[in-house]
Parts: sequence; C-alpha cells; structure tokens
Amino acid sequence: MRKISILLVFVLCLLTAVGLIGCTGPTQVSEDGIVVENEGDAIYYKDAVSPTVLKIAFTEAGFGREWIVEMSKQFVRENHDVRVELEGDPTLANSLFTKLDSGKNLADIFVPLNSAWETYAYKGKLEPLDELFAQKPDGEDGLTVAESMDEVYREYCSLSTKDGTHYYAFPWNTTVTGIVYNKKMFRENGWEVPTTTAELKTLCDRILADTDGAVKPFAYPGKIGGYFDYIGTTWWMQAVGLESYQSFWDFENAEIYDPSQAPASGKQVALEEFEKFFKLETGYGVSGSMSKDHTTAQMDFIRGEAAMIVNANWMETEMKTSTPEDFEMGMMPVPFLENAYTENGEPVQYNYTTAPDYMIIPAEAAQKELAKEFLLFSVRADMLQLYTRLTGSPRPFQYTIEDDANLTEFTKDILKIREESVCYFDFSRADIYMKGYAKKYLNGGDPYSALVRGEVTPSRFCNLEYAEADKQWTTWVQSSQ
Amino acid sequence: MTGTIDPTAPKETIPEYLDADEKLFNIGMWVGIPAQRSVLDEYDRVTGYETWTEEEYLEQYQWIADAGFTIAAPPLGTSSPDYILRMLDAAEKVGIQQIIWDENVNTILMNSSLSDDDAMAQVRRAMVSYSDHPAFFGNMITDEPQMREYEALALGEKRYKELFPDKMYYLNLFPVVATSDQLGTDSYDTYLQTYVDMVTSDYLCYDHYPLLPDTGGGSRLVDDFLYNMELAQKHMAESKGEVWTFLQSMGYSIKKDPNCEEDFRAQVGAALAYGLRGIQWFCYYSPNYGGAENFTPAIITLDGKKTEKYEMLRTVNQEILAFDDVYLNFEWQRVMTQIGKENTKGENAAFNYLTVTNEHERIAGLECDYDTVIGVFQDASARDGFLFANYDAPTSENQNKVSVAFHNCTQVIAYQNGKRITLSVEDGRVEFTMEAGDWAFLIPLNV
Repeated sequence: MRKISILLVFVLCLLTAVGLIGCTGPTQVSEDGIVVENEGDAIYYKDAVSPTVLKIAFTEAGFGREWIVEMSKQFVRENHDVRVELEGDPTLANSLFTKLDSGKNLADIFVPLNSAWETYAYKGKLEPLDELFAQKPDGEDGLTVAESMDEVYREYCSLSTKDGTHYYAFPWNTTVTGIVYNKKMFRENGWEVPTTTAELKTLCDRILADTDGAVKPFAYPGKIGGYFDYIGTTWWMQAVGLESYQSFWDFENAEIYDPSQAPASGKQVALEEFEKFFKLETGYGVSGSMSKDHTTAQMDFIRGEAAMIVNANWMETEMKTSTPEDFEMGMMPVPFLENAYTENGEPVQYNYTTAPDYMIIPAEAAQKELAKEFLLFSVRADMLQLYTRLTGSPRPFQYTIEDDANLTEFTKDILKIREESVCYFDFSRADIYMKGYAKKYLNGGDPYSALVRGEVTPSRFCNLEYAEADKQWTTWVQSSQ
Repeated sequence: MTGTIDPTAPKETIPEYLDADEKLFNIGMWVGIPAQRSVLDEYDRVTGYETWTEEEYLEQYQWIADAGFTIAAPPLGTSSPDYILRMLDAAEKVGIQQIIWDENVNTILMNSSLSDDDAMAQVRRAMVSYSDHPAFFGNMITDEPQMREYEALALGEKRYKELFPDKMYYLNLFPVVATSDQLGTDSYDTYLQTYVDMVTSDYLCYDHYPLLPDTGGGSRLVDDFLYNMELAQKHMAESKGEVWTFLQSMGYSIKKDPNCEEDFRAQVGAALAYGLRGIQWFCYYSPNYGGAENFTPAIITLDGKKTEKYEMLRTVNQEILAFDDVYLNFEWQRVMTQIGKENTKGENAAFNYLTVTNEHERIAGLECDYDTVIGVFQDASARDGFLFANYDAPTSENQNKVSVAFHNCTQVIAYQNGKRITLSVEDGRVEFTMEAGDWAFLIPLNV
C-alpha cells in the first residue's frame, strides 16, 4: 500500500470572503445573492427562476454540515440555475437501503457512513460512475478522478455485477485514527508523546501518579462499538505487517483464524496489548466508561478527566461547540508494539482508516447528471482543500495544502499521520464474507467489551474463533456460493 | 369545517362492548425470566449466578403481570423440562400466558426424514408434560429465519397445527431493513409473501426497532417504521391474519434507550393505528450488557431489579389494556396520514413511503397542528373508528391540536391513551389535543 503524500499548500478562503448582508430569521443572503435557508436546508441564487433541484442526503454526524453547505453554496454560485436541498441525518446508513429498495425518499446523492452498497449495485439500484471517474476535475492538465484517488478506494468503488464491472461508489472521507490527547495537559505535566507501547504504559502510570488518580489516562465510550478497534486493528497490522493482515481479508480458508500463525497470531497479540491498557483492573479508564456513549466519553476527555481517548479525525469538529477555547487537542499515532513489523529495520507506521464512507447516486434519482457534476465539483482541488479546512479531515485524493495557516493544530497532526502512515481499511469481496458468514471477529462480534470486563481472554477468544471457523467453513463456503 | 347530517343515514347505537372485559390484547416480550439471576460486581460484570427462591421467582412473574404483559417469553435459548413447568406454573399463578422454547420439539417438527405420523407422535410425547397446562400459549420456533428455512418451517407448522390448533407456532421475521443476505432473497416483499404462501397466513410477526436519538437529546422514530407495518398488513390483507411486532424497550447499537413514557407510548400509538394485534417489548429481562451490540439494561436488570423504565412501560401497557375490549371489537381497514399545519417542509419522510388514501366518507374535514397517523377501523355493526397517533417526535414539547369534522355525527365516544374522555360535538366537529406520543380513538356516532 502506497503512502499518500499531502503537501500543505495555501487554501484560498474564497467562501468566507463573502460577507453576509441579509439575515431574516433562518434565511441568509450573501452579497452575491446566494440564499441559504435554515442552515442549508435549501441553497439557491436569489434571482433563480425555476431552478433545477439537486437533493443531497448526507450523514450529519462528526463532520457536521458546514462542509456540504459551503460546497453547495459555491456550486450554486457557479450554477445559478441549481437549487441544492440538503437533508442531514445522523443515521442515514440505516434508512438508506429502504429508500433505495422502495424508490421513495430518494435523494440525487446519498452520503452515508460505511454500509454495504454492493448489495444495491447488484440489484441495479445504483448509477454507474465510470464516466465520472474518467473526468478531470481540475482541467485537462490535471489527473482524472480515478487517477487522483487512493488505490484502495479505487478498488473499493469498483464492482462486477450482471451489468459488467463499473464504479458505483465515490469516496467521501478518509479516516485517520489514533490516540487523541490533551496537548496542554501533556505540556504542563511534562508528559512526552509515547512512540512505543512500553512508553505508553509508563505514561499511563505516570499520569495516575502525577495527578493522584484525578486524571485517568483514557476516556472511552464502552457503549459504542468500533472505537476500540481503531487501536486493536492498528496493533494487529503492526504485529504481522500489512501484507499478512490483507491476506486475512482474502478469506481463503479457516486457517486465517488460527492464532498459532499469521495473520491471526497478530490478532491475538493486538488483543493482548489492548487488555494491558483497557481491562478494568488497570484503572486506566475513567470510571463508568463502559456505559458511556461517544459524546459522554469525549466530554470526559474535554473536561480533563482523562488525558487521552482513542478516536479519529472527526473528533475536533464533532466536539467544537463543547470545547473550551484554550483546549489544545492533538492526535498521536498508535504507539508501536515491542516487536512491530519492520521494513528496512524500521517499524512501519500504519493508519487504520476504518470502514470507508462514500457517496452514491441512485439509479432512479431525478437528477443523475447534475449529481455527477456535483461529485466532480466536490473533488476539484479548491473544494478538497475547503473540505479539509472545515472538517479537519482529508479526502482520499491527491491534493495539496501549501499554507497551513488556516488549519488547526489537530488537523496538522491528522495530516501528518496520514502522510507518514501506510493507510488501509478492511475490505473484501470474498463470497464467504459478502454473504455474512466469515467475519473479522466471530462468535458475536468484536471482543473488546468482553476483554475490558475480563469475561474472555485474548487466547480463549482467538481459539474459539478458530474452532468455530474450522467447524463451519465448509458449510459457509457451500452456503455462500 | 363542519360535518353534515344525512337524514336518510341509519341511526347508530352506543356500542355494547364499551364496558366489557372479555378480550385481551397480546402484550409479549423478548427474554423472560432466566433460571438464575446474575450476580454483578461494581462494574456490572457478571461474577456468578444465584438461583431464585420460589418467592423471588414468583415475584418476578408478578412484576410481569403487573406491568401489563399478557404473555411471558422464555429466557434466551431452549429450556429444560423442569424449567418449562416452573415457568408455566408461575405464569398461571399470576394470570398470564407463557411461550415455551423447546428445541427438542422444534427439531422433531421440522425433521423431514420422519413421516408426519411419527413426527407428531414424538412431539406429542415430548410435550406431554406441558401441552395441557392452562398457561401454555405456544412454542417459540425460530427468530428471523432466512427464506430458505421456510420449507422446514412450513412442515413444522402443518404438524404443529394438527396437534395443537389453538396454540401458537411462534416465529418472528426480519424487518424491512434486513439485507438480501439475511433474507435469502433480494426483496422484502418476496420474503413476506413467501412466508404467507408457505408457512402460515394466520399471523405475521416481525421486529423493527424504531427509536433513535435525536439531536439535542430527544428521540425520533426511524423513517421506515410505519412502512414495515404497511408491508406486513398488506401481506395479511387477504387472509385477515394478525400482524404482531416487536417494539423497543432498551438501547443497543445506535438505537436509543427509551427514557420517558412518551418513547414507549409513541411506538404503541403507531402500532395501534396500524391495527396490530400483538406487541412485544425487546427486551424485558436484560439479555446482557454491552457486547458487540452494546446492549443497555432492559426493563429488568441482569440481577433481577426493576429499572426506571419499568413504571413507564407499565403505564403504557396498562393504557392499552384499559381500552383493549374496544380496540379488539374493531377491524382495521387502512391508514390515513395528515401533515401538520406546523410542518414547514410540507412532507414527512415516514409518510412518503406509504400508499394511502387520505379521504374517508365519514370525515368532512381534518386539521392537525403536527403530523398525525390515523388508523381507520370498523366494528361488526359497521360503526367507524379512527385511531389518531401523534407522529411528531416522541420527545417533542409541541401540543398537537386536532380538529376533525364527521358527517352523520351527533356524538363521539373517545379514548385518549386508553382513558375515556368526553368531547363535545358541534356540527359534527370535535377538537382534542395530543401531547408527544399520545394516541386517541374516536367513534363517531349518529344517534
């Protein structure tokens, strides 16, 4: 997997330069006549007559809505005959497939969090995007969409269906995961950012000692699945290397779950490392974290009850309204295991980008061509820069930001981790996986909560997984054909 | 907005069943009382198990009955013969029914290598200790089957119904949001229709958990909550079979843990508007905490204590039972929807999924301040009934004022959240106000 390089270049803040001259209730009109109703529910040019309506339903979660509002404003600014209507829904991924299946409540563009879009491509419910992938958003001298895109996303967006092999999905965001930490607290206490798990362990003990236990090393949202896996999967990749980790996702046989050999040996190593920091008895976690959701746990961190929290690049934006002005948020990469996989004698830094979020155009959308125009517009260099500036997050395309003056320190950390890491997310088209038989974690899902509670050990969990896979593999293969 | 009186319209009488106590709405659950309660440490971790004393066990069942449940479920998984009898005896003592999970029976029922006679003889023997028990309601067969399992389930149903025609061969289907891989078919319509064609047309039970956290700490219902009810009723239309569903009494994954009566009541209102004949709460006894699905405590904690939700659920269940004789004397016909005057968008995504006709010959005019679902019913004497369910967000602070004018209406019998209320009728028009989650049932009469 190649490393993605992002130079920091200047972001021309063209949108904030446009002052607001009118504000009546929830409707705002900019000097150049762009009307924004109710924080972006509708965006149109003030003198437009019967504009074409482009409906965009997006996940209004960690990244908020400013990015899509500002992008839509610019799109309308350049296309006075278009009215963009935005619908923010934090749980869009859950309702998306009913919309596609029923053909009701269809937007022209859906922007959900990760979910199995392939099912609907197979059913002919998604518009192929091949022509869009071949277009050059920055003019003839630039790269095509496909060329500009991270390789793993290009693979992910392509699917072979009865209609041939086509691109059906379009990358929205790419994630950077790691350990978010309180920079000011670290600085004031003389705590160093750890680079190895041994250093992390020492740091955790020191945090407790220096604060008499008033500050815990970690806040975490035990009620919400997924966050623990950011650190767990990174350690898994560190333990066996990316090539071996990727071989797990080929799902070739039950031995991929055998903890006595790679890749599953790496899983066991990762879970053992996880246990050292998050088992309740360690005392490293804020009390009651197992019953907290992400917002509550993040508030524990913001309030200074913990020095660190395993999280991702959306956290700063997500917590913007609750974060004190003098709070300094940073992100460190996941520290290296003692025996981390090396290349040329150096441990390889991995960034687990988690399951990908994407954009799709329904085959039955009313404005498919206009939707494609918007997607192309969204990956123009200035729009990519705008996106990163507003969300603190990269998109998986090649673009540069020369001047980081408009970026927060947190965003700079994010971009640095992405630049210095080998990025990867879980992804498989193996039938046995697509049909829901073989999974990343067997026997009821990931083991993190059970490990925290001490209800299972890493070796027992891995052994049970292997036993289950070994017992069921033939049936799974037959059932998934 | 007024109604007219057609002098030739037939006069109607006050229904005779208003004060009856003969019918019982089905209120069930997922996860009943386990054989042992968990012992928890300060972190709510399970450190061991304790056997209930007889007194404690009976108290658990009394709580179930007091909370308005009419059917107790077994704990997760199959039960031993001794435990089956313990559940049934406890259920009988508190006056409710009990579903049994007996995998031995299920295996025989669906064994295609056995002749029907052999299978039925074996099942009869396997169930001899409990099949005549007065509290025995039926057998739990399976949960969320793939379509490929229908053939075996159909075989089991045929045998079971021949043996126990009055007992429930109970199984629960996937919701509309299930994937093709889960369903075993590309189409949810096909999944339901094939169930009706192959397994049974007596009833259709499914689970679709609707409660989501809304921005600002409130709650909202998933957009396709009503749509799933519509699809279920569509497939029961021909056979007039019953639709049952599960409603949500705990949080998991991204789903909200209900924390007010309105969260419970709003789900019930929608289910009643859609004429459902059974609701079941997921879950009653906590199956576990956390885990891959991040379960919150249900109504009863893992160590057998009432949560705060117990009283909320009890209130809402009792509202149904206070009204169930009236409700069950009506037959559901269809649903209408009304966009509220205060809805500035002019549409409701939940309503967009539905195929409805928003007219009724009895209704001269209808206005609501907030979005409302109206179930249309008729009783055996052709009296009309309308169940109004407030479909504003369950935690909304808005008051939904409803004005409805009926033709041929001189009197309206009305219930709000199960309680009889008095509404004055002027030129066929009545007005009433619903809080978030409220529901009201109106019977316009020409007396």
